[in-house]
Amino acid sequence: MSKPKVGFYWCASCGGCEESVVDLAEGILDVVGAVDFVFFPVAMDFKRSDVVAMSDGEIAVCFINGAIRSSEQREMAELLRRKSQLLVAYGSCASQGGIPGLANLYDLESILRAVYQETPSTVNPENVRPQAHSAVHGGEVELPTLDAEVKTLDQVVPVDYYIPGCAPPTALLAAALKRILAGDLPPKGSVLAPETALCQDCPRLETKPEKPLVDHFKRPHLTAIDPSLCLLAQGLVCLGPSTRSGCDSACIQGNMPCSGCGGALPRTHDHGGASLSALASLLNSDDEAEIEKRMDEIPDPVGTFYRYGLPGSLLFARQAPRDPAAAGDARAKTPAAKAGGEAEPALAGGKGGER
Amino acid sequence: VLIGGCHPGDCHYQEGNYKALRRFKLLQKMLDQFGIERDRVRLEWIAASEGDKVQKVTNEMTERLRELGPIRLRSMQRLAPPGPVAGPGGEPIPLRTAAPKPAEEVVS
Repeated sequence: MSKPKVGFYWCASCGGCEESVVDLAEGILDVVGAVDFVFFPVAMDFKRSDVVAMSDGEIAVCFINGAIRSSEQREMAELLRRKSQLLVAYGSCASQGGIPGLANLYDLESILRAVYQETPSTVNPENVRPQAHSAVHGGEVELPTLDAEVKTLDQVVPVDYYIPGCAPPTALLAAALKRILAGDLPPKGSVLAPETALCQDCPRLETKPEKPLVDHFKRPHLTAIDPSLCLLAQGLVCLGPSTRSGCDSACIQGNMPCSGCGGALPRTHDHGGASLSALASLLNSDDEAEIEKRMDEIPDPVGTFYRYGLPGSLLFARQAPRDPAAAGDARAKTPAAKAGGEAEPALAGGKGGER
Repeated sequence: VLIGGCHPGDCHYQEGNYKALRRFKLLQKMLDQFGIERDRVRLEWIAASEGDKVQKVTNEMTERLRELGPIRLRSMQRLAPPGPVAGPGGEPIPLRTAAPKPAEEVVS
């Protein structure tokens, strides 16, 4: 019997997700023994045309990392969705929009103007910008175009499972691969990660006061951080109370507060909102003027609380409704979708912020 | 969104209104970043006996929201056609839409 085929693709991402695959170390040999990689542009020489030549559903599972911003990324997501039985949003960017998603604070023209005109190191007297079609040497070259905003993978194509993290912890990938190969999978739409908050796994949990109250919010680079005490109790903006675990508290072990890449907990609709709510209430002041002053100690609330999930947030996601009836959508064949309901019921283990 | 709460120090649940105030102050800063007008979210302390205040605040807020109209996030704003960019001397530089023609300009 032939081995199941696996694909791995990147969209708007940094390459960290691929790094987490490499971090399987010798474990990668077990993976290579169990599956056939049929598409993995960052590591292996397969072409888009190889994927196009496959029959629909030929790939058993495809992991896509990175957010979606360009016409090329959209086309690849649609192509790989069609060719794959299972599609996994791998990492924070594919799941929730990630760091590239913070670009949604600006309109596209401002971004292009900043990049091609305004940055101090830019020299572009003729105001050249990339064009979809350009005549060069008598021929024509084509470039992908940028979309008006950054989207999560599931705002473009239906996604079966999510693995959060920036980059995802290698243990989550290994566990997910094992479950996929064994056919031991939770209901579609699930996040393949623990359902507990990071605080519950934190090695410093015992030092967390029942009601941590802080006089100041402190920033890591301006603070001498005690390596054994709860970071919240020290006044650091740690998103442990509102963020999904599964990372073995890697940042905490590095003496840095959680920045929230694990995303929302189950039954939380908006990770940024939940995080802001959890953190703000810790301030030890009832005086309006004092509170206002202390909140200035968090200089970038959006970048702090929505660092990994702006496009997937309640505010932005409502612009991009999922369409389960889209062509080639496996889930459109489920009874729920036929009945015109949500393609997936809201599951206890489902993705926080299920739309 | 109109958030109503008991006057500080006057709530059976003791600290919820203080927590709300802290969250609200941080939320306001975040709304600025989103480009959402602060007036769209209002926090008012209103006691059970202050029916007239409910009416006054609600009317004020409705009126203000009518003035503001729908939310327009920056990323949602319809893209204006790329405007001219000011050059060093303040002269607008037209946007160039094609690559240079002469081959010698292309550095390989």
